[in-house]
Amino acid sequence: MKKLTILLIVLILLSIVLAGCTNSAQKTPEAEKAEKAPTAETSDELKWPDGKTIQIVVPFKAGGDTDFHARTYAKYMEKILGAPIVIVNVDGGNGSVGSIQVRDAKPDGYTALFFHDSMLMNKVVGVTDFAHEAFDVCATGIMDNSYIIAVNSKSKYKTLDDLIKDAKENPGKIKYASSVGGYTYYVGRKLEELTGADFNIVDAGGGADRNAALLAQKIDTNVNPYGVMKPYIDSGDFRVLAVFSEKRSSLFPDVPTAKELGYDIIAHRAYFLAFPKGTDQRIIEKVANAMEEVSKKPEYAEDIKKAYCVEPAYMNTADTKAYLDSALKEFEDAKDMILGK
Amino acid sequence: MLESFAIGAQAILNPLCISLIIIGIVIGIIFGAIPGLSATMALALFLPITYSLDPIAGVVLLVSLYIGGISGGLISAILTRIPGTPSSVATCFDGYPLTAKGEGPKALGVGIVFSFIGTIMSTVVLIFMAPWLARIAIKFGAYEYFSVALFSLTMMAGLSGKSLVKGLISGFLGCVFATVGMDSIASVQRYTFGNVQMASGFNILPVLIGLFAISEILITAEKAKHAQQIETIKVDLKSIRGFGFSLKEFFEQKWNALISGLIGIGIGILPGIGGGVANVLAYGVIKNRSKYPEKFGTGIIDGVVASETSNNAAIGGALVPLLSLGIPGDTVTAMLLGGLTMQGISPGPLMFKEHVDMVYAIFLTMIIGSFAMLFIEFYGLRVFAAMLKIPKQFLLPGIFIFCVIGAFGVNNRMFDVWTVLLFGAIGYAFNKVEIPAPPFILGFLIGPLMEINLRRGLMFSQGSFLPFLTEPISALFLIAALLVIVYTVYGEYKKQKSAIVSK
Repeated sequence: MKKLTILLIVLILLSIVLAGCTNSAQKTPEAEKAEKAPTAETSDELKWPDGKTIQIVVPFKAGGDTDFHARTYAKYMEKILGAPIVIVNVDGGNGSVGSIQVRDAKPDGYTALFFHDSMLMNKVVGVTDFAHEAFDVCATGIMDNSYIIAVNSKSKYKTLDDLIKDAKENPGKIKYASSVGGYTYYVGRKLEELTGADFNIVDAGGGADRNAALLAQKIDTNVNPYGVMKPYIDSGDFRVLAVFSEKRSSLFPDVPTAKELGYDIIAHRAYFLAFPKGTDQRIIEKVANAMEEVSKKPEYAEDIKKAYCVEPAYMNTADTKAYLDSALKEFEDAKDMILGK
Repeated sequence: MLESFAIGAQAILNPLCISLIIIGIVIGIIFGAIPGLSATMALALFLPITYSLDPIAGVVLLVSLYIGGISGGLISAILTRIPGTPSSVATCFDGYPLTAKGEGPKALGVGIVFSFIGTIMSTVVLIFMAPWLARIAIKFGAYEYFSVALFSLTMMAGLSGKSLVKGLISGFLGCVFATVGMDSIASVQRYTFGNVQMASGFNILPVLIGLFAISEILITAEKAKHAQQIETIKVDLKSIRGFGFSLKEFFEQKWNALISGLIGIGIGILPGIGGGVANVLAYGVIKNRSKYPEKFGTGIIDGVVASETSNNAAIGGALVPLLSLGIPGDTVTAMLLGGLTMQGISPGPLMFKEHVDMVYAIFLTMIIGSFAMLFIEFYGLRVFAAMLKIPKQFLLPGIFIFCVIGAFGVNNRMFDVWTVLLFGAIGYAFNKVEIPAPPFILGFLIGPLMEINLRRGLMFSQGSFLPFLTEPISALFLIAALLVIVYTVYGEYKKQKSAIVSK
């Protein structure tokens, strides 16, 4: 019995060590050596992915929304591309550490980055000195346009008008939760600018922390994607005042858009895939097509609806580029506002 | 309630889930026991695998890894003075001196049994009081967190060892190093020297490994240069009976265990603090209320009991806000949340109604997992203790390799490896000038928490400090902090006075 236990432990240990070895063997050449050898294939036929592992870097920890969307995409893309896809989490600097790792990787199509609008925000606030132009952008898999503004059900605000009116009458008293330089901070400042309301914009942590703060009425209002607040909306603890999208969502059609209430503010976040600069255009096209195929799968739609209450929204390479260009311009124009000046 | 248990039992009492629990516990213990690998890493590694399992089986595996990983840290802490995870820092203080006295197996036995008790205590609290406790936890806002953090920092005194001043130097250095990187409110870069890698700051795991593991390896290597042979600690494996300690000793610890358990649960419930602080805090409190505080650090089981009960109790505590509010308290529960979300389950107010099977499957996993942990570690005890027979010149280089691999695994980047080496050098320097390292860790963990909540609080109050004093919960902790400071300073004064008199 004793020997068996030892044997078992040794075996497991050994397997862990071995697993570690194979893993690092895959990573080091791509991740560490930043040599930019032009590897664009000269032959006419594209030999990619050739069954080799494709590494998608998620520049955040495992378990968040970006990680979820990348993994869900990977799950379906593996089958279409016929190659294994591994997700590598490289957290740090609000996504900039992972971005740099991919930017400096070999442009051979085996390393890609899955990121969202924060890449642009990082440039605007000065965390990095580059945005999507440093990459070969592939396509957008998801466009989260489910940003809603909500209050505690016990609060006196029944409509968005109530809230704005109160914020005008009591300047600096209504607590709007957001982190400086974050996307929802920008939305809050835009709302102020548009309506002349004056919020007290306070930092109350990430999505889950803000839910708790709103539940305890330590803050008055909160903007976040619908999925983040969904459990509390379903339980009746939160009241949704509006969604900042072009048209009502089919997943929560009862919620009016801010636009139809007379506040023309649109908020969204695109989750896109990008390759290092210099990657073969045919690879990018192939992956973009695979992403389009995934976005049409009903199982996929079901997965993302269940987890984050969003709908698939595919944008091809050209559209994604155009979207990112205009979003970057929008953020840059509003730089002072975003920096809280 | 019984009905709910039946639903949970139905969900997990099958060969797959039971074997997943055992596999999870064993792998968790291994990850916890090897310095450099941690519970967080075990979950990160297995998270993708759970996506292909059904929701319940996946979460069962993750919870088992969590329990095993937190408990496993005691092994290396006791045997080599290197904490396997941040949760077992305080276990070293008395665990290793016990080993040095030749009582390693006893220390291990105590650690194992009280890990078990801590987990069970917190599970009971979780089962019966989770939604109610969650409602209390959300009353803690920025003001309250600031005061709790300040109170926790006063425990530095208890960790300082011989010199209070040196302890404070260490603690404040910890706070300073924690400021490196982007500040968490306005994204201002501090001490990054324009380096993007520095912008994300130092991760706790490489810092911990460096300070404790690398410095220990350096010191041993240095000693070996001067001595002919590194002394191998003697341990008599044949005389180990049961868990290596008596029933009388067990009952002497009942109050210690209860208090440590409650501290663990309480700290666990407050999101953002976690087991890394719980063990240190419990150790400080138990030492302060002990009749013989001077014996702490010399190898008494009280210290091991405090640390190991509280860190495992923090598990159940951390699951309270996770399940009933959807708030992860630390990196490990953040992974768990990811695992649940991936399966389409969003924890929150409706969790206990809509996902009864999942909730009770988790409860049962904790109970079954605790027993599995107890049995596996009971049989493993002799194996662990036998590790001491491995000469250090073979054991430590092995540990060194794992430290580097583990550091790289934190974030898949080399920067963390350099961090380990940097803090190894700092730890070595600390040792030379006799500055204790534990207050550094406390400062490193608590400093940022205190800063962010002070700044958040001031944003809420638009610049007024008054709410910190007038909010009742906040005021309570500030008074407690003040009392500890006064008590410590008075004790120090008395000590110095008697030292002068005796001269």
